[in-house]
Amino acid sequence: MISCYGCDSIKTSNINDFIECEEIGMGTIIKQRVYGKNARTVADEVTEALNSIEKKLSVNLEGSEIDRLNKNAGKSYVTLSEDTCFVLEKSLYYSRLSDGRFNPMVGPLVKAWGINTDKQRVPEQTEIADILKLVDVNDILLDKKSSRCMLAKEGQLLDLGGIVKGYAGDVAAEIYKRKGIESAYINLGGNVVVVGNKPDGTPWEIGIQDPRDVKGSIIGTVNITDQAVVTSGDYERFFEKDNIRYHHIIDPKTGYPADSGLMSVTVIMDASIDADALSTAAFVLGLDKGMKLIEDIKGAEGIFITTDKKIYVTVGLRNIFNQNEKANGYEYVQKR
Amino acid sequence: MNMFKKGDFLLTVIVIVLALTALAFFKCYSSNDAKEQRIAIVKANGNILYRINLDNIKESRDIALPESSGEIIRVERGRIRFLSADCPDNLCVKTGWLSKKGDMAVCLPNRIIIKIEGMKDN
Repeated sequence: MISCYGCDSIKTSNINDFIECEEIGMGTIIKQRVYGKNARTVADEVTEALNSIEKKLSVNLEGSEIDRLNKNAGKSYVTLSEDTCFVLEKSLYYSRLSDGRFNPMVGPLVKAWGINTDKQRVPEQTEIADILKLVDVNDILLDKKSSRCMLAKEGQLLDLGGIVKGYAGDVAAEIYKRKGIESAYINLGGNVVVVGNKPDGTPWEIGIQDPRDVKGSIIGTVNITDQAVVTSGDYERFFEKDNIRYHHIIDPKTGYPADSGLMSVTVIMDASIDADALSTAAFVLGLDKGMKLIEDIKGAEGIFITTDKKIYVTVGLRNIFNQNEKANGYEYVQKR
Repeated sequence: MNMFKKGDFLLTVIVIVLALTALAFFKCYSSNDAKEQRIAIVKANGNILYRINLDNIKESRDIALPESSGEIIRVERGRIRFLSADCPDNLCVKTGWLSKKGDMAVCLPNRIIIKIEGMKDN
């Protein structure tokens, strides 16, 4: 499904040989840059591993574990692999931590809005009210000992889309490290993970995208080493109808795209699975509750960009976030 | 007798200067040529369909991709782009011309990537 035969192999010097790859997978563009003599084989191994994750965890792929789970909702238990159980348990953890703003049971809502399809639509209010009865995480019946799981009611759909790229990023980093790669970068549609520093010893410089510039210019950067930077924004997938923008981050409590006063949230943490879930949760929560959620978690930092073009960062980023001088009308605000 | 020697000397100098200039020009031109070669890659579903040296293109041409209907790529000297596509938002087409190393356009729904090999100059 994904292959890496089109990787660019760029030779500079022996130490700085690297591979650069772009592939389509998990519904987005996956870019890798891997330094080292064995970079090509490692990049291929990562591509294969991501392929395998998609086959197990995708809600859209027929025959995936999630697909089988969903088809058996309200009927019977399905055995899940270790990967899937791990991701599911993380989802449940973040669902509780965010008081339900991150919710893997949003499947029926995602389907009703037609997100990720060419049939995007605004569902009727009555339709949404009915669907809201199907999004309770307590309906995920998980027997950890046997790794078997069932969704309690027919029509319920598990959708791990809000966390699976985060998981994939960590799997990639683990492969890079296991293969002795000291410097690598992977970006799965806005979910960035880096191993080590750049070969010259300086940290990787990751740009934070301007949520309103279609050309993808950046409003600032953060320098990271061995960390993940994950952004959730209202500009990644959306459609417009009657001059209203409907984006893809559904608030599980209202059934509508989250209207929280934010255009994007970026979370920086050691593990991208955590950053992925938290960026979604913080986006739905809004600036005040979202900042509090991130600040209460050790090792997590965040950047919040509001709809009135103000940039807020958590305390730990105050000296690390570099605002782009040419940033188009964005104002950095120091809170407290 | 003096004039003759001077003439010789001058001629020799001129020949040497010309030779050096020609050498420098040749070296400069050919290494520039190698650096400027822009190779566009067209990938569908991860498989390379085409590898096109954009700097060798003489006439513009259109390529209809076999794997998906409605996808047409236009190739001209030094540049390449999605010309038309059947995907809903046509972001691939809207990306426009790719002409520099590292430039890329993607049609996600049809899983097609066009990229000019190499790195962007930062």
